[in-house]
Amino acid sequence: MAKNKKKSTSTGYIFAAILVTIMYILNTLLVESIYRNNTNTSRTTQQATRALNMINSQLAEVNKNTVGLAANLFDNPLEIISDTERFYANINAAEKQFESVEGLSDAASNRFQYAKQVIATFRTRLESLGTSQVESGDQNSMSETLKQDLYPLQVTASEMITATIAIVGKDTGVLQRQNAIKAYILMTLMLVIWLVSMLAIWLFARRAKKARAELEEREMRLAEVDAKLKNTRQKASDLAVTNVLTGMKNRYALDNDISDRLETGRFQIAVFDMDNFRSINDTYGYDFGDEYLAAVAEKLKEEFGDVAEIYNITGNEFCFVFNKNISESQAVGIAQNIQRVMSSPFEVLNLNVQLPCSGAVYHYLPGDCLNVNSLLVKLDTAMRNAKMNGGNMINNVMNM
Amino acid sequence: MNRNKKKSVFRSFAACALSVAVLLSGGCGQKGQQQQQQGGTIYVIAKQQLSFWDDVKKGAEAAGRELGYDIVYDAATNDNDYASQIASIQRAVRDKAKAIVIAPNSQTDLNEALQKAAEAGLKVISINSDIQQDSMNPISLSLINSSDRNGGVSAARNAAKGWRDKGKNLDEIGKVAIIGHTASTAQDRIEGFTDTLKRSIGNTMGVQFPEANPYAAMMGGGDAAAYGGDDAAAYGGDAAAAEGDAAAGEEAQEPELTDAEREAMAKDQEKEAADERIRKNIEKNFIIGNQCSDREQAKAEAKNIIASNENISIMFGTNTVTTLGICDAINELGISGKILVVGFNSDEEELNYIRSGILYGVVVQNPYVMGYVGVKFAADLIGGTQVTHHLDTGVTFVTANNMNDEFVQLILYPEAVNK
Repeated sequence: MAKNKKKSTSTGYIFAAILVTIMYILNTLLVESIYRNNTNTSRTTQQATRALNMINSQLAEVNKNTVGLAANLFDNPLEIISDTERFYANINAAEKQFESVEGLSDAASNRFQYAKQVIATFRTRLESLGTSQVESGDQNSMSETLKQDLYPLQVTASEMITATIAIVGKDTGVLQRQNAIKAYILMTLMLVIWLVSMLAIWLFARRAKKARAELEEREMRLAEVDAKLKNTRQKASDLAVTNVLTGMKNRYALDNDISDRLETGRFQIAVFDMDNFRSINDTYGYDFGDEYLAAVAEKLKEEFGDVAEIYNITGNEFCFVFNKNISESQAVGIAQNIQRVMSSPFEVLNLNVQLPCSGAVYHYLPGDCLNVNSLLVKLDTAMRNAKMNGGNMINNVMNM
Repeated sequence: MNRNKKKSVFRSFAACALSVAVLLSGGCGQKGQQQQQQGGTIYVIAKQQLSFWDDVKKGAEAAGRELGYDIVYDAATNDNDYASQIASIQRAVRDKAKAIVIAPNSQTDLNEALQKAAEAGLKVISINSDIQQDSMNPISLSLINSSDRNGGVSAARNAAKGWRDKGKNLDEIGKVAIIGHTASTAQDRIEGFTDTLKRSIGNTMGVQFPEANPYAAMMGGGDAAAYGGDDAAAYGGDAAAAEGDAAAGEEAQEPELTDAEREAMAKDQEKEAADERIRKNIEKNFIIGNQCSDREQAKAEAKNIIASNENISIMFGTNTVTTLGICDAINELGISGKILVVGFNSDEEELNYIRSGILYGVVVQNPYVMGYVGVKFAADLIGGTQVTHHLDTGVTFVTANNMNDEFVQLILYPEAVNK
């Protein structure tokens, strides 16, 4: 299930990424197209309007000349006619320029064609009627021609040209509006991208936060388990090295503690046990014996815990590893105190019990023993000798 | 849970997409609506349902389409029907139209309705003919037409040209018969025709006719037609008065003249008397028939004139039905080619008569441009641009020779060329 979930999340992100990419591309294209359109529009409008204004102004010039001819204003009418030719050349050039402008609407082109037709007719009439009349100098017929044949055409042409300008202007408006719509779409897309990004960030953040919380929780649980495990292990190891009854370290602990010191160490060690402890068990029962031992151990810890490490190595046998600063003679003195304490009376279950004890003290020198067993054998042998000699005494282990 | 989460992600995306779609469609919708009503509505109210007004409609609609206005086109039932035009004006005001382009069927009866429209903020433009109004404070801000007098003049000039093209002199012209139609425009056309033709004939015979409208000639076209019609008569009157003053001045100086001068003056007077006789003769040759309102009536009138007058050289019809009536008569009498016929307007049947040679030519206006410029001026005014008081769209004389010229085709079939 976890795997499946992961897969679906990444699909979502890929989907979002593709969407955003597509939108960015769209945006780029839109910006590009808006820019290009704007440039094209202004260029088209400019060119078209310039051409149209040129035509209009030149038409006005032609008309001015024609009116002047009709009113007999000029000294050399033929020169004026040649001027008119030049104006027409300008008009023709402007017409070509307008027609070469790309991106004009059909309406503008149609209207322009109409204007062009009118201008062409204007010119034909001016040439066929005007020139002959100018040459013949018939003012009357010339003014009639002007009034009836030429003037209306000129104003019609002019109106058609200004209409074309208006249409070009309107087309520009339409194109600009299209661009505005594009810009609107662009902004909307950007907004969407922003929203999608925000959504993605929000989703991602939410997911990350959740994951972190989960991790923390797991770590905490792990730490808990770890602590429990440590505790258990501690307990287990404690049990391994502790005498359950007296709570003192046992034989294994002793082994662990001094094995390393045998080869190079120099220390005072002693063992004690009750003489004839079995009689207690036999007389009062094992429970009483246990209580008695516990009481002795408690007393020993209290009295000698400071000067020695005390081990309860078998049932009623206690081993004392004296601290390093205890000298040989001090050890003997302490041993006598130990004997005194152990053989003093103890109150157990409202009974006063007193048993004599024997012990052995060993001034251990480096390399005396190969292992803890042989060390204990030496001590036990010395202690047994003491018991065999009547007990209630301390024997020294002789150095060989 | 996994599925739910996936769903919720998709739901978020879907929500985003949807909101974008809504935003976009909302935006587009607004834009679309704007585009449709961009400029507003312009009412175009025509005189009647004839091919001439169809072309006005085409021009108006082209301008509306190209300049971004909705066009509502109304046509009255006939050219005296001003009541339905008033209804159209009132409808335009109710519809909150921006402008009215009207060809008024009455010079005065529409003023009240138009005044109200103008007060409601609508721009009023006249086409084809104007209303009578205070020129200092006009209701209609511009007039777009072609001068009826100039139409008549064009008919006369071209009739003369057609006559000369037959290889005959103008003094060989016999009788000239004119059949007018019933609307107000007929009189100006007839005057323009007769004045010009008389003068042309007079010129070849060495006599001058007084200039009927010297101001119009002096203006050289410009605003000439603005002074057309009744105003022209007023200027004519002034001119006559000025001549009178000049004559009075001459008389005052009479006592100081020498004998030679007296002799010369006597000769002048003699010549003047002779000229006057010639003028009278020329004028006598002009027959003005009864005004006719339909084709049958015009045909009957034409037959009547032809039967009661020998030596008729030229006939002139002042509108479509009179022109067709004359042609019908000549066609039925089988005297094609004997009489040179000139007419008005470009009905398809008239064009057919031109092709068959019965009709020499017709004066055509440019109704398409009238409609177009009418709407364009309205659009200019709506946009705050001032326009000229009067624009003359001119006339063109169409004969079998120039019928296929591009420009003539443009006038006869505006949409066909414009498409």
